[in-house]
Formats: sequence, structure tokens, C-alpha cells
Amino acid sequence: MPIQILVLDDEKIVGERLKASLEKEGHTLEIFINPVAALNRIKEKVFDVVVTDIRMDDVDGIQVLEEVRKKSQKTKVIMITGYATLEVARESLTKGAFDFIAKPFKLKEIRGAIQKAEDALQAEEN
Amino acid sequence: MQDVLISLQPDLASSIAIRYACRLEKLVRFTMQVIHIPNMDETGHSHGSGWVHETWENAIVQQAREDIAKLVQKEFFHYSTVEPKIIPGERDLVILEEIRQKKYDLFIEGLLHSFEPDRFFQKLDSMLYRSLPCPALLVKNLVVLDRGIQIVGTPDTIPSLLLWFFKIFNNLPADPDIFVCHFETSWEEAVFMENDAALISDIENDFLKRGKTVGKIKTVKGSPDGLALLVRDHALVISAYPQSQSYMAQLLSMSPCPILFCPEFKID
Amino acid sequence: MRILFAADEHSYSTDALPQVARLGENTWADITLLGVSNQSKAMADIVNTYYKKLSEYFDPKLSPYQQSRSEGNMKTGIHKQITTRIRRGNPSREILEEAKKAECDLIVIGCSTQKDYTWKDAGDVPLKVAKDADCSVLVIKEDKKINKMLCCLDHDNISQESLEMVSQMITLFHADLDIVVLTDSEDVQGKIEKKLSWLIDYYSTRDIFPCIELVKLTNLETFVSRKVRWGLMAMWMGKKSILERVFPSSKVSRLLKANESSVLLLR
Repeated sequence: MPIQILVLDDEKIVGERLKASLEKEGHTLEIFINPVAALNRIKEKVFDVVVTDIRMDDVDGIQVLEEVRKKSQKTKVIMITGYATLEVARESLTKGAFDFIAKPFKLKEIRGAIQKAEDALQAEEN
Repeated sequence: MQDVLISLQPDLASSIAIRYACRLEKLVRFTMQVIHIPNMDETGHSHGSGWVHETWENAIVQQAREDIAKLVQKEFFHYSTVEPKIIPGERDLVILEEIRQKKYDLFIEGLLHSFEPDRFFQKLDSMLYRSLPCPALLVKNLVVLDRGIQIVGTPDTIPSLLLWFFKIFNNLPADPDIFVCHFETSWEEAVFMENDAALISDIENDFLKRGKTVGKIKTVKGSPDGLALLVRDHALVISAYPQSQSYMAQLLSMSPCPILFCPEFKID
Repeated sequence: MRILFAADEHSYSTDALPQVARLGENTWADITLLGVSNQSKAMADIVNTYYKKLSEYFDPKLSPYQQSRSEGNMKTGIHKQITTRIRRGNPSREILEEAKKAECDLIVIGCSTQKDYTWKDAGDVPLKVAKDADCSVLVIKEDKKINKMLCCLDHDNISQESLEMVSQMITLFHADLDIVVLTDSEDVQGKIEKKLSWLIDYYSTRDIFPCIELVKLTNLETFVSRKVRWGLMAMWMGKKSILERVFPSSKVSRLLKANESSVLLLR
């Protein structure tokens, strides 16, 4: 099932790697390196999956998670972090992150998480 | 406001030094003049004399001006409007002359921290450091300034160091820690002394008189190696110019922190 | 992240467990607890004990390992796994094979508190694993506070994964980062300077301000034995690493043995 995915990471390379791989599978991707622009887009549109970095300038991943939750309970949020603290890990959990992926990660790992999100979405529809 | 001279080369040590200086400037306002002494040996020798030599030298100075301007611009655009001084010549002499003429309050330069202390000792031994009329800040690393200041000395040097501290960092919001060393080469591990009450009380009174407070005061006995762990964690270490190869020099060579060397003469 | 915790029955393995728990809880890593022994029954009991101990570290309501996350078609999110494995045979070989099979990012292994990096009944297993694994390896000597992380990196060739692993460890231990620059001479060559400058930028934009220290290659062993008693030493030992190129493997072993602290081998 093709799904709508928003990817937000201030490191350009993360979005680029995901775009090449996930578009092949028929998914639609919107890539952002600017968190404010991504938040505005999240307010406009309901995505199936949001993949977001946690530590960024101006906005952090937890704010993105909260914004997504305000817009939709259905959207699966996958958090990525290079600096995994217990506080952020727990906050992500209590605020309903679908997955939390610590760097270094293999592309396969994010693709796996997106696949699981897709399965969960499908199961919820049925 | 203090006048600062910073010596830069197009290298990592200078890049760290200017970044650190710019952060410090936000806490202790000062004006900063960049100086660069191009290394004529590295760029080869001119074969000619007179006009040929002058043209060759001008070309090198112009190239150096561009390199240094780039470095300054990259690290701190605020200072990019101040023209760096590019003066060919023997480095120590040129810097010393500039400091004496313009009466700078502080000299800053970078030196990467090294496990082998040779270059650090060479610096202390240099004509420049032995003759400087003002303090010199040797930036070894880019350390965050909220780690505070540590004044490191012996019972003899602490009083004059406190005067320098009050002169240069009078407006600093943080309270400095004081570390008084009693060097004992036979003591490998550091031993904290508890019988220095008079010295501690003098230091506290000195701060009180000026309406200021001091951080932690530690008086410690040990070898330079044993004390090294205790001079690692501050944003700035303040010390008197030590004799090269002295115990104090050995201790400071092991510290990765930026070090402010203060002359021992009395100040106003 | 996937973590493999390789353990035997001795106290140093138990002592390493809290670090595995912290890593797991902070990073939501899938964790495999692996016991290697020719006496499978006894080892199964030991690994089960480790599993119970590990589970006890986690707050049942705030852990990605909680059972409720696996119910209801992942409505609450992905349930992270803690699996147990027992292998028979040569310990280091079995650990490396399991790590490869499970596609681990990090192997965590405890070792004796002596300078020799051994397992009591099986010799230099931690050392062999550290040297031959494809992924990063964290060898833990005692469960003691790590204040500094001393990274002996080959600055010409460091991998992105190594940098990320370093960042995770600094965050995990709330440690300061010291970068040790190995030099052949007094001067830092232009190429290394550029890389170092890039590294300082990389970390400082992430609010990490590493201290740089130059060390001559010939003095590395002395440096290690004197400097790392209070921290975690990290060394990059990828195929292009200067340590791999310059030192024979016996020298690398000696280097590790000169060190009294825990070690992170980065790849």
C-alpha cells in the first residue's frame, strides 16, 4: 500500500538516502531539512508516517511529535536521534512515538520501521 | 575596555584561538586587533633584490592578508571589518614591538595541546613570552566558557594573580576557583591540605573587600603528574609565567585548558 | 540499534549489565543476550538470570520492551525485543558469528578488572572479539563512572558510524570528549588539520566541545597507560585505520592491555 511520508532531518543526507529507497517502493515522500517548514506542512496535511530527527535548531523532534498528535492520532511517528538520552526516549514513548531509532542506523532499519508502520496502518483500517 | 592583540596563522590552532577569543569577548568586552606575520621561509626565497624583492614580498603579504581575512571572516564576521595587520619580519620581535607601541592589555594566540610538552616549553622559553609586558592567553582548546575560571599558583604567586584577575575579568559573572599548589615530587597522588587556613582566609578577604565571592579554594600537595587531573576541567586557567621546565610549567603543559599567563610585576 | 551482550557466568559480566540496560533504555535497541558455554543447561540458567535482571532495570510503564507494546497490532508502537541465545563452541568465534547473524551495531562484553582483557575460563575472548568484529565493540571493565571519553581516532578516515557511536556514548555517560590526534611528527599535517577542523565543527554544532590532544605514534602506549585510567578509551579500528596499518596486531593487543579502563572499538 503506497503511503504518504514526511521526512525531517537537518542532515540532508538522511532524507536523500530515504527518498531514493522508499520512492522505489511506490511511497510518496516529502523531505524537509528546515523544521519550521516541516511543522507548517504537518499542520496542513495528514501524513501516514512522519520520520523526524530529535535534535535540531529551533524546533525539536518532540515538538514535531506533539504537533503530529494534535493533527492526527493515526499518523505513525518514527524518531531518529544521534544523542539518545533517557529523558527523550521516555518522552517519545509517553507521547506515542511509533519507533525510536538511534544513530548509527542502517537504512534497512528505517525501512523496516516504515514497513511495520504500514502494516499497523493497514491492520487499523481493517 | 581592554585592547587585545591576537596573532593568527592560517591553521587549526589559530582557528580555535579566534573562536575562543570571540566567545570570551562576549563576556569581557574588548577590542581585538589581528596580527599575522607571514612565514617568508615557507614561501621560498626571492632571488632578486630591490624592486624584485619588494614585489615578491608584497605578493606574499597580499596573499597572507587574503588568507587571514578569510579565517577571520569564517570564524567571526563581526571582526571582518577590522583590517588585519600583516607585517613581515621576525615573529617575536614584530609582535613585541606592536604590543609595546600600542600598549595592548592582552595578547592571544593558539597552540594545539600536545602530550609531548616540547612545543609548550619552547613557547615559555621564547623571547616573546620572556619579554611580554602584558598577559598572554595561550588557547589550546575550544572550551565552553561556562566551565569557569581556575587561578593556579603557589602561595607566592597567588596574590599577584588575583590582581590580574580583578583587572581583566572584573565584570565576569562567575566566581573563580583557586588552586594552590605545593609541589612535592615524592607525592605521586594529590593530597588535599587542610592546614592552609591563613592563606584561604586571605584570599576570601581579598574578594570580600571588592564585593566579590570566590569559588572553591583548594590547596594541594603533589607532583606535577599527580596534580594534572585537577587542572583539566575549566574554561580558563590563570597562572604566572612559569620558568620553563619548572614544576608549574610541567603541570600546565599537561592541562588541555586555555592558559592566561600573567607577568609577576605589580599592576595598578 | 541492535546490541549483542556476550556474557559468561562471572561477576564482570553481571557488572556490565547495567550499561547494557542504560544503552537499551536510551536508544530503544533490540538486545540479544548471548551465553557461550559447552554446558548449555547451566548457561541457559545464567542467561535467564541476566534476562530477569535486565528486565528489572526497566520501568514497566516507560520501556519500549513492555509487553503491552506488542499487543493490538502495534497500535502503541513497535515492541523492542530482548532475546536470549545460547551457543556452544569456541566463545569468540560464536560471539562474532552471532553478531554477524543478528546484524548488530554494537557488541557489549565485560572482562576481568585486571589489565589482561580476559574471561576467567576462556582466555582473551574480549580481546579477540574486539579485534575481529565487523561492528563496534564496547569492552567494559567494572561498572564505574566514566567521566571522559578519550577518542583515538584516525582523522583521515573516520566513518560516519564511528562519529555517531561516539556521540551516543558521550550522551549515555554524560562524558567529556577528548580527541587524540596521532601524529608522525611535531606538526599536524594539513590534511589532518582540515579533518579535525571539520570534526570540531561537527561536534560543536551539536553542543559538544572536544578537547584536542596531539600524541606522537611512538608515545601512544605510554599515553594510554597514563591517561585513560579515569575514562573510556575509544579507538577507531576500521580497515583503513592508522592503528591497523601502523601497528601489528600484537602491538594493538599490547596497547589495549596497557589501558586500565573500558574500551570502545569503533568501526
